[in-house]
Amino acid sequence: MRRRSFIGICSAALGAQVSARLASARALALTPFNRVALVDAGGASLRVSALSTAQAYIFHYPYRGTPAFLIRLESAAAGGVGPGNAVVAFSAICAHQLSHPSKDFSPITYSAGYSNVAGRAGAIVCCAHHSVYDPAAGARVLSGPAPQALAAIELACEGDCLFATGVRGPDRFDDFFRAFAEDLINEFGRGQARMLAQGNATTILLDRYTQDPLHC
Amino acid sequence: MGKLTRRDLIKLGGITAAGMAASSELVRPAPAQAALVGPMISRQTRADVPAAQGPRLVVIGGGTSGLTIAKYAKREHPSFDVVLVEKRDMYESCFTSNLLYSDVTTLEFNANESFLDAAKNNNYTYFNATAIGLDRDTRRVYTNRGWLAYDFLVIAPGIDYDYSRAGVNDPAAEYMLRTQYPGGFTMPTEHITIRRKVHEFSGGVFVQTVPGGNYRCLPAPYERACMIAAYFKKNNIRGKVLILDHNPEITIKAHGFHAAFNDLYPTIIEYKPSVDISGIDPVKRVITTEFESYSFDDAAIYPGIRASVLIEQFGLVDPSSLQKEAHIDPFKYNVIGDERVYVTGDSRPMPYSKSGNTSNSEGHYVAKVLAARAQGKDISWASPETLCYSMVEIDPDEAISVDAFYAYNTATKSFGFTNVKMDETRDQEKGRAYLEWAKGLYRDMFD
Repeated sequence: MRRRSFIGICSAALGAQVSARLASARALALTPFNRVALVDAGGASLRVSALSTAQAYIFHYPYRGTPAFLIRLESAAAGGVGPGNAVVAFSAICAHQLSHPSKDFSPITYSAGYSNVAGRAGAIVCCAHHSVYDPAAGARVLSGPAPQALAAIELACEGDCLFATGVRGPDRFDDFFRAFAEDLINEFGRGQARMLAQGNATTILLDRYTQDPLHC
Repeated sequence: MGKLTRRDLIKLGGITAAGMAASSELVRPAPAQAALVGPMISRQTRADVPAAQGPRLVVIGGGTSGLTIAKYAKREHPSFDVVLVEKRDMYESCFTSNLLYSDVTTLEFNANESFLDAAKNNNYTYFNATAIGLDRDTRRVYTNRGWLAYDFLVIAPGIDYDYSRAGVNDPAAEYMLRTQYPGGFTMPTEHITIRRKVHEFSGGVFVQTVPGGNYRCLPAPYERACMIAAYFKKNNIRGKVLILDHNPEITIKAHGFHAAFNDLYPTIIEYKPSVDISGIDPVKRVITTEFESYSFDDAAIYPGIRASVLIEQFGLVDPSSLQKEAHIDPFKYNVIGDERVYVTGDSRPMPYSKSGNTSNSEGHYVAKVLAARAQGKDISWASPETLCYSMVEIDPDEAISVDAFYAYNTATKSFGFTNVKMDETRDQEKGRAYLEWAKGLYRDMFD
């Protein structure tokens, strides 16, 4: 599907909806990036109303090589968009020591169910060093060594469609590109990972993106 | 060459004469000591490093503690001019080294990091030199490549072995043990030797000793026993791993280790607690206690440990420390009475686990302390975190873990564990998390 026609379909749906954001989420600085439509593995528009709440989805934003979580929570979240303001997105690069999902392995996951390390359900947990983030509260740190929240991916929900438009709050992208330079060449090709995402971003369930998601 | 001053001669003479020298007071030897051997002739010149562009922070030691502090002190206070003094020219981590013995990892996993890259990535200077002296009056650190002036100094030299704790007082016997049956907890070259021993083992008894006291990495000897046993099992080597433990029980994750010993290696690992070693004969390969003796075919002898001898040489030992650890403020890490000099990592006297995650998390805090003090500020204390995995099975790799913090008890004036999360059920999830844990530490120190 061409991007133009895709956007057209999305725009024809329920009409533009911009979520009311909580003051705490709004307080963090927004860095605009390309407006990118989230699509499924077949390139069709991702339907917000059909998103699973059982696990996170992965897409790459704001660069082609930087993974992000798309999460539909059971109830409203700070900064949430879509039905019930329950859809959020965050950089999936742990703010502690940069653990992140790759095709082989993901030490950081969203656990809709109970996590031993988090001591609760509904948390983003990095199993490597036990940083725990709350996706319902801007991915603030609940416990563990992370010094800051995960960077939030700004979403816009238009009809039943989702767009990523920017990054809110401090990120670790520069550290990530330096630390994983060779791995990113192997996974994305030389010079590709740092290119800005544009057009569509393929968005798939974590357990279909990675062979080995850890739960802890 | 710079001019050799009388003061420099005396300082070096003091180091030679006193052997285990000395603080700013002790580096000036009594005349009788100096006369006994005479001053060592050596020209001490200013070290050949770029001139300081801001308050100079010298960090001695490029292990987990020193690398973390060098990086994060610069990030916390960018005007710091940081020099990392490290005697090694190749990095290899002590943490995860047990995984080499069972081929869970390769040497490249442990050593694929560069001091040059760490310094470049984090805007500090790597100075490949060995610290040999300290003058706190003039704020100079002496190295084998000249002296450095400092505004703040962090000493993070790690540990040394104390063979007297294993009843070994003869220097020749100690040398044989250090070189032929190394403990595997100080120099990287020990890891290579132990791996070769395990891989070339032709059968018999392989002894792993466990010392008393607060030795480096409490679970490591037990993990190593599992990794050696796993290698024997996988390769059909008719060997036994005999653990001779000074302690009355496995010191940490006891349930998880006992389960591994019993379930996975019942005919390979033999565990003997409360073994108080009184002597070791490295020629006859016999370990003795008051009541028994144990013969071995090969061994990794982990004697007691102490703080690095550098702490003693610099006159910084806490007289009450059984392991000759440094006399520092337990909350701010500065040498008592000197807010310019700090001791961190495994030479600290606090009873924290002497392990990688502890030193890394502690390093983040100390970096903040240094940044605050350089700006005339103060920060509140934060506990280090001890997150520690132990591999107990291979093919598939399975691990157990502990995650703990520390709290200070004002009534007893001592530190104890708090918020302890013990996960002693071995599984593959923790096995994989273990390797990512190590990679994260490498990233945090080098990238």
